[in-house]
Amino acid sequence: MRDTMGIIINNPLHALGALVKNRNPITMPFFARYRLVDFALSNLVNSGIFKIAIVTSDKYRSLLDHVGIGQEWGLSRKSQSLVFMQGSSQFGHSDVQHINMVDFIKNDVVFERNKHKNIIISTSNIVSNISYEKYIDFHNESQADITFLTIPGSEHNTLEKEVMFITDSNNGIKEVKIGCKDVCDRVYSGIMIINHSLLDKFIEVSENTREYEMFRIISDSIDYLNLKYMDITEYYRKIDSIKNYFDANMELIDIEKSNEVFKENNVILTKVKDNHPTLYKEGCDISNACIASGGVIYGKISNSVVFRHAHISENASVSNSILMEDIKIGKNAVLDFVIADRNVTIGDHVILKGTKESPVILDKETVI
Amino acid sequence: MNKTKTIAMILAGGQGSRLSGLTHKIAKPAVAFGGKYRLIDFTLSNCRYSNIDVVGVLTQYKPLLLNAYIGTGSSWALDSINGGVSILPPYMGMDGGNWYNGTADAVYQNIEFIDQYDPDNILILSGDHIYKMDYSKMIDFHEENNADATIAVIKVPMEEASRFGIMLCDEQDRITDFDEKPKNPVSDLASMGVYVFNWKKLKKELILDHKDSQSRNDFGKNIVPNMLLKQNKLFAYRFTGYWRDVGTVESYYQANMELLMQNPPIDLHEKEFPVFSNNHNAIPQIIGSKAKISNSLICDGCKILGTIRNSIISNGVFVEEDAVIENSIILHNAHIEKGVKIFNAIIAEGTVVKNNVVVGKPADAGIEPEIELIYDSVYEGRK
Repeated sequence: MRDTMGIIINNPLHALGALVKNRNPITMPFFARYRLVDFALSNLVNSGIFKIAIVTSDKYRSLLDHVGIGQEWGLSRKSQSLVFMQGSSQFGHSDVQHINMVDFIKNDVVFERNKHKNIIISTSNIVSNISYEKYIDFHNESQADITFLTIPGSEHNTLEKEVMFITDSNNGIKEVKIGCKDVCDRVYSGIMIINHSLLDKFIEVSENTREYEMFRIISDSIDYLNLKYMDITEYYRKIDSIKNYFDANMELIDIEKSNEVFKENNVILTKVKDNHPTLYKEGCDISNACIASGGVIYGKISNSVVFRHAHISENASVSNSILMEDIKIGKNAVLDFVIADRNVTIGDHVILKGTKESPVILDKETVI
Repeated sequence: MNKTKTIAMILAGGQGSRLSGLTHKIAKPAVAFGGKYRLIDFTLSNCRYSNIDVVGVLTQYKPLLLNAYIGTGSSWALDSINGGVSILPPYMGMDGGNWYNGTADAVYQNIEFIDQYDPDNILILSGDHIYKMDYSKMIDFHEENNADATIAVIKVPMEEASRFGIMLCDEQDRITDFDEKPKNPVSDLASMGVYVFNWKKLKKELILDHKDSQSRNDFGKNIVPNMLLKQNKLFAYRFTGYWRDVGTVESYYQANMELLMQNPPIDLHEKEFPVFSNNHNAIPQIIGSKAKISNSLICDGCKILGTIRNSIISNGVFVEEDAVIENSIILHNAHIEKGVKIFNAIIAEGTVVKNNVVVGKPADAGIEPEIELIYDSVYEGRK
């Protein structure tokens, strides 16, 4: 995979609402110890791609803190590298929905320096464990200009702004539709393999025409391009709403499902921290939960995802909830359908009940 | 090379044969403790806390896991520019080479390594004790006394004193007599196996000791008594915290189980002085819908579908449905299949306990249960 470089882009995900008020979705905490970027980054590294660029946004502190020099992903070696690219939002161009050409125009030096044949552009808001080898092989064999990784059908089209394709029987793409409500054959997964030389051309076109949405450029020049698609066969979930963020967390508590993502060989890597094992006290009652290390649990937890350093007091009851790092829950408190951001403190006897459709969302450092 | 005031040498080559199956495949300092830790984490974390940047780890018996685990020492923030952690197995020279023949010989064979740093003091440590200690205070004490050697001591119950090296001191804590494992101990001050030596003095002693064919090349049996004999200034540094030498399966089991007490005697979670370890990129714990857990420590990467009571479950353990684990220690990556019952036992790393097997017996009231240790790679019950 030496002829392939990876780029992880950074979409604004306003649909995540309060959860991304103070953070970039790329470092959205997920499943007790991960951040969303871990999946895109691990997929590239596990596929043998060691030249990786990550697009930053205006809120980049937590990204740099989490990824660092990429040592957890083996990217801090002399022969391999990780670069950060200044993102479009830092230049006041954050209004593009899908792939923002400003990200590439402003970092053209990165592409001039690298002579990789293919570039994988991956969004950061996916939960998946994908090996890119077979997709790259397909891309090379079919001599495609771009190969889009896709999901069959249009049922994934929860948001009307999604990119969809009308396809032919030969893995070809006849039409690219951006944000339409028509029935289509396939939905864009957020991952594509593009020829480096074509990306260079797109950068030129975009600079000249000031069209910054890559999919419009693609759509405009579709007659001259060999566009292919390949359906993703691995576990894949797109995170672009509070609902599918919640559902994806809950779904993975099932061991068979989580085995599809957290494999023994293609490990999803993340920043490790020093925490003690979780201490489950006498009288606790845990069922169907994913719990990170560093916790002390006295109370009851069911159908929930609990991040590091949780303190759940006696007779507290947590169900159908996602509780991020450093949560403290007082005695006899009851939480049902709650998503609590980091460092939230819930006092004794507090009762918080949301619903599946609209969970209670608690901002960072909330004290109740 | 920059001058370094104090460097540490960790003795990590021992087999720990009394730990039986726990050290069949790995050196004693690599034995898992308290779920995610390994014994050497404590000594390395102490070095980090004490700002000791140069650490030599003397390895000999089954070092593969230990070497891989220590790596560059980055997990303990010991990967400094001028020094860091060096793993030091025995090596060949012009005149051949020898295995490390005793603790003093291991350091003797690495005089060259130590001289590179030209240290004032040298700290000799064991890689298999459980304690949190700020060595810098002991080094200050050593320098204030202008001592040739300082030995850390801890009070032990008189009836256990004959298991240790026992010190007799004057009012200034200057050591007047030292007895290695005495039959009739005269004091309850036991050596913790933590020594600070003036390096020039120790180097001389090591060379003399090497020439003495009668010597057993041991710090406790030879070096310390010889220095006392020569009227060198040896001091005892009194340590009052928690310290355990888990030499046997029973003491290993006890020290682990102490972590489950209402107020454990050692705080592994303390923010000021954390115990670091080489952490895996494992997935968080997944607890199934029929699982029952009470008073237990569980680590990352575990999948728990059965019942766990009063037990310590290390990284990556899979406990299937209807399995029951009570008063036991399950080490890394063990797989406990359906319907297995485990009481008062230690299951070694990577062991698969097959369906419905029963290990150990439930504790009878008042009677100390015997600890069963299972270290087969696949265990299908006693034949």
